[in-house]
Amino acid sequence: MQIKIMVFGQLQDITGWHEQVYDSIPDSESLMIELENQFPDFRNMEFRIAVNRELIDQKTNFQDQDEIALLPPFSGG
Amino acid sequence: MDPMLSNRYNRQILLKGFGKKGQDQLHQSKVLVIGAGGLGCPVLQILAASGIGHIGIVDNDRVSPDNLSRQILYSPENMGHLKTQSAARYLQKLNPEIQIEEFPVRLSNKNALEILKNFDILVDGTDNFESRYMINDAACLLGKPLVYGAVSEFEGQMAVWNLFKNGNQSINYRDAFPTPPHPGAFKNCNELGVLGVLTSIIGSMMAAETIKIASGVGEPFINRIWTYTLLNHRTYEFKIKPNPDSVKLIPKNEEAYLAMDYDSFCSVNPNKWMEISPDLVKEYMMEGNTLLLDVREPGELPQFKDFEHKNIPLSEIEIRSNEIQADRIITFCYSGKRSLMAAQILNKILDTDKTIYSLEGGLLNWPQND
Repeated sequence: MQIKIMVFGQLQDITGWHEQVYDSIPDSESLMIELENQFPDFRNMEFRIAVNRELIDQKTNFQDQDEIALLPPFSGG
Repeated sequence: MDPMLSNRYNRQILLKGFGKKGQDQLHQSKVLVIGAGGLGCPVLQILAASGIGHIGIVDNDRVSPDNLSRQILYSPENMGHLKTQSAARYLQKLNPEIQIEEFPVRLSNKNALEILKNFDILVDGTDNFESRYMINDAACLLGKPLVYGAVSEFEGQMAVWNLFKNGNQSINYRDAFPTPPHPGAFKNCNELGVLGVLTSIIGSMMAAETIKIASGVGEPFINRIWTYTLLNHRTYEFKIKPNPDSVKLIPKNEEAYLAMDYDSFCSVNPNKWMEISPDLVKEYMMEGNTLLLDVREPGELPQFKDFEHKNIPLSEIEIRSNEIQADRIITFCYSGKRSLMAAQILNKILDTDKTIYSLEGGLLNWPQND
């Protein structure tokens, strides 16, 4: 199973990429664990997770080819 | 109306689906633009030209040289003047037929309801999380639509919050982001920089939504957040559902709203974000624009020699805070206790655009070079 992860805003400064394909991540909680392991700075960041362009507010199972996007708040003006 | 200008809105009125009715609606609308900066300037310029009848401007800031690359209503002659006054003069020249109201105040929950209640549409062009939550909550309490825009580096966000349409209330800022991030988690434009063209693009989108809501034309961008990346013109939309937490977090009435402390609310757990490791201290010192501040009494040992620093003892920190100029301040002491107190004091009294940290564990925790 493959999913596409897209990160926005200053999260890209942590990952160094905007978009990446990940294998075998079954749900949103596993994704968070994986990202926090890979990028410890994610623990201090606030953001929302969207699955196929819709924000989720609870643990969500992923399907093959899902598009997962991480949206942080912006404050600049 | 000046007869010479009687056809000033001709091209808008010509538009099928907009017409005289749409123009009249704009003329009757009262729009409040909060923040006359990078986003506020293009919003104000477009709204004034298009004939919004009554425009309010809230900003307590004055024009400075580093504003000019993106805050397109200001010129060198406005330097040091209030933004509200400079903007109002420019806009009144641009369109003498409209009414412009200046609010040269720092918006807080103590004055927000009083000012906001007199307007039909609110536009948030502020530059900090405290204001964004405060304005969103006021818009929800007052039942007014709020046009939102924000930028970060080369990206922008835009949305319309809290619009009542056909008996339904659209989602608001807290449905997307229920609580603010830890201060310091995200950097702002003062730290990261911003291109003027980005704030003008996002500001134009905000003006478009304002005009659509005011005229009743088209579909307002509700229940979604729009993101835009300047570097490749990539756009992305996030659908947002009502968030059960959102309702609980918004003050229920005027009394509860007045009792909110949005500054502290945006730094829920001050210790967590304020204390930083020696490695991060070193990184910030290399980046520059950072003041390292020894808050011990003069003469206390051990001496610290690894980086240039200034000494202001904790006992004098309040009266001598005017000596602190850098945008980022890192306090330290022997064990990290006094420096955390100093950081908390500075965080209250210094401008909100400054970020203040304390060296976690103090010099006891600082690696020794043998």
